[in-house]
Amino acid sequence: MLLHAQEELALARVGYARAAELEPASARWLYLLGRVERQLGDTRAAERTLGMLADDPLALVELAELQFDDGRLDEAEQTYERAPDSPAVRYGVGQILLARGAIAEATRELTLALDQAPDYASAWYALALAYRRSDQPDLAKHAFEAYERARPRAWTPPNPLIDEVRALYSGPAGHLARGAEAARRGDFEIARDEFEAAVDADPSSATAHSNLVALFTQMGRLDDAKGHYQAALAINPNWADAHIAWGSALSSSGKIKAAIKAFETARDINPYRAEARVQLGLLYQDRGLDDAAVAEYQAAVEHNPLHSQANQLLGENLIRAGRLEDGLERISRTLPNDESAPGVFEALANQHESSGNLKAARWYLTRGIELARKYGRSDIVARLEQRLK
Amino acid sequence: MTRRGALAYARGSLAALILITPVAGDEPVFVDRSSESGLVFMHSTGAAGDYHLPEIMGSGVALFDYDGDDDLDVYLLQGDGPNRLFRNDLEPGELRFSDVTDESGLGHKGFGMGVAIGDYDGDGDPDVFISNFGPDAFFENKGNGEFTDVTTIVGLGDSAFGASAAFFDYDRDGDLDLFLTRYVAFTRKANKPCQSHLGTADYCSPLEYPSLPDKLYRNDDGVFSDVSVEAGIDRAFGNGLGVVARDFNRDGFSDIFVANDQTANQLWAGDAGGWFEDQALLGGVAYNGHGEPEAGMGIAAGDYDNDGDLDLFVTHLRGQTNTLYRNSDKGVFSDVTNTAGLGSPSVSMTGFGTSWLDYDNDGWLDLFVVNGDVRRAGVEANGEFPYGQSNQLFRNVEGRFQAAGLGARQASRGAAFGDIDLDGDLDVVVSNANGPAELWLNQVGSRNNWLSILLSGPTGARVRVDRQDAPSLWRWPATNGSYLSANSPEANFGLGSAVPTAIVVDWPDGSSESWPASKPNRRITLVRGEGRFQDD
Repeated sequence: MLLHAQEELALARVGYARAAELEPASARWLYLLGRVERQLGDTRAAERTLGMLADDPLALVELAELQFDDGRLDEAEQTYERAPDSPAVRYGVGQILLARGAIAEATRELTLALDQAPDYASAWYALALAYRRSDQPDLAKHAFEAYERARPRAWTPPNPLIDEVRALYSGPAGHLARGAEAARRGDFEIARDEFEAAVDADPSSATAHSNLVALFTQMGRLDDAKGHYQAALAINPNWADAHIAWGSALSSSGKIKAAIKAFETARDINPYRAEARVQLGLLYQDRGLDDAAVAEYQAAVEHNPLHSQANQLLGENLIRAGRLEDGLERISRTLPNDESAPGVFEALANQHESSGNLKAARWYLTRGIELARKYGRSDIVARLEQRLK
Repeated sequence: MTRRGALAYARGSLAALILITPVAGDEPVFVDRSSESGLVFMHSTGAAGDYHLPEIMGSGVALFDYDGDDDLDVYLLQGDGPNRLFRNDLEPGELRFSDVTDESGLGHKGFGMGVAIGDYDGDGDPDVFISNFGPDAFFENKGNGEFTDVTTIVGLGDSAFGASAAFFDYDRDGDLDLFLTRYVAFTRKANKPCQSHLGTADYCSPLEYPSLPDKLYRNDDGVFSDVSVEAGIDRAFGNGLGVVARDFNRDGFSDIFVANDQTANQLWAGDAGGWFEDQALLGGVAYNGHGEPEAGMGIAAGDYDNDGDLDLFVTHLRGQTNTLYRNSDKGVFSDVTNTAGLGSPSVSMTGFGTSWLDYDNDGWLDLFVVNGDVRRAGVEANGEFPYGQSNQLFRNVEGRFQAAGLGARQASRGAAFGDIDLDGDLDVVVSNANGPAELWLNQVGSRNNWLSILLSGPTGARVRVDRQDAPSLWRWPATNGSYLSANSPEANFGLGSAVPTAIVVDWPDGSSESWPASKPNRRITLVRGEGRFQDD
């Protein structure tokens, strides 16, 4: 299992085969053997191995997936029929039906999968494709949106054996991934444990130290952050992530001059890093260096046009410089770009109208009309055109 | 909005995958003739042990007729050192190449990534755009065998990490515009050390670096302007590697499909106003059929099921399958990888360059895929550059594919497709990272009837060949596609045992022009206006 965890698949295959010989009553070794054979691309061997586990739910789903991947839909369907009901089985059957063009039946199976596992992102996606193929664009759109919402927390079928394998991998990458996930959730203590475990596993991991700088900064433990910043630089003085994280720590503790230096260092190491440029721009602006700030914001949006904060800050500065339309255009990039957009633009027009900024109100109305046309909202078009007059 | 941005955490790299050795067929379909033909080129990544990301991405190759003698010459990009141009000195029965780099002026020294070929100034000869890791370059063909570096004059020279590029006419003004994919925000100074699962030093995943937005350049009288913002293509982007520009939804305007590495793909649908909307999610090509982003590398666009529309095939990383998207209705695609038989054979391969090609000229488009790993895997993965994998040929049997291995195990990347020996079937030049270029000559296609068509007219046309007692065939002549590479501009039609009965060209402006049947087994050029328009 350790070899499997380390992706030494050929060796893991030998180990699992031997374990299965020594412990023939246990399904786990045959399942893992079949899984590794499948990963190795040896479809025939995997099918033979998994086929020996006639009553094992995990093996049946794995076998059905293999047969589906091989384009053998009837065999896959028969295998799914032998497995106990689960979201994975419903999803698999739904995919088979979709491939056959049996859209109504596929829709039913996928809906059943989602009843049992509402965050099953793959099932939402397949359902969206099914609705699209049956000319139900509104339902397809709804399912695509549900898919996008489910993706970050996507449900996956439980697999205790693979969880066991993954738990054996103590390399830094696994800890880093789990730590980053915990930090995103706000579980800072878990994140700290994972990042520190990554350092233990690989003391030369500048990524782990850099992540700890960012984490301790968020936790308000700047002394700890500093220690890991120094450790990261001792490994690699050109670690842009560490400079950015440490710059944020300095900035939050009011050490602006040192923070500017840290962000400038990060920018010089990697001129394409929008985060460094945005933070640098903010500090320049605080010091009254508006032109330098705008230059940083402009570079940030050039390298990452979707950077919301950079667009907002650049837009605000352009408006202050008298370039109203350019500024509003920039700020509009931080607004929704979907069917809700006309309403948002109308609300912003209202806001600017009541504060007496009629030019901005007019701009938002005009854009709102364009967007309402794009999304087929003739009611909103008529209302906004009336107001524009 | 908070004024201080949220801190970002790096994830580290996780990879998952393996090697297999495909079995070659009994009869060699393709034979490597690089050495004996004089096409001798060794790619060098310049690797010095720091595992800089561009080293593992490889370089492209172009097939084009630079000297106007009606055969395909070969231009190979180099990582560390000058690019090389090889002139095709084909004589009856003998294929020979001469290295004409020095006299041509095409020995550009950058870190070569992608190459795009197109006649940007409409003077009748092909010009050369090179995307680099570093400043891009553009060379104008002077028409006398020499090229001049006009990068600055024409307004190009982006200095980021460029990848595949495509010439096409998005605004239908008659000149060629340029789309450039860009990969990630990597710099040598910002290089991160990464490890394989064995704990040895290895190349990083692209997810270690931020994505870069792609670029669209509009050609106005020979000068290119960056119109990415006004055309809307900066509104979505990923780790761009592959690109094809074709009219997928058949509205008369070119669309752009971008394959991104481990991030969602884009399908930019173009309109009459020069605006592009990303239709990848609704069109079903942003992700695979499970809704998962894949590591998109190379792209093949062609009509594999002979129904008159463009299907897409995208190559991916080991552990994923390559993906076949069938175009079911004007730009609405379905992932049919598994039912087409393309799933299992690709799961242990990392695919790069690819193209549809009817290698046996039986009227069904087959697939050629070049492979090579990007991560060390398994205890056997020692040595200086242990990333070799076999290439693959997939035979199309009425819409279902059968795999056959092609013996060599190199870290293959770029691949360009065209009839190099002018015998009526398609050949392949492969660029291998840190390895020798390969020239795979097709041994079997000329046994069936064929027709090779070059168009003289606006780009973006669709060509239909009607056959006696056999279904019609459609092709979209274009040089863009594959991975970092440029293909022959000719459209190759395998006819099986049938003979053509008519040829019809659908031009981008909506007009259709027909030509009478041609005899099979010949190359023809169709000039717009010399045929018979449908409503004449």
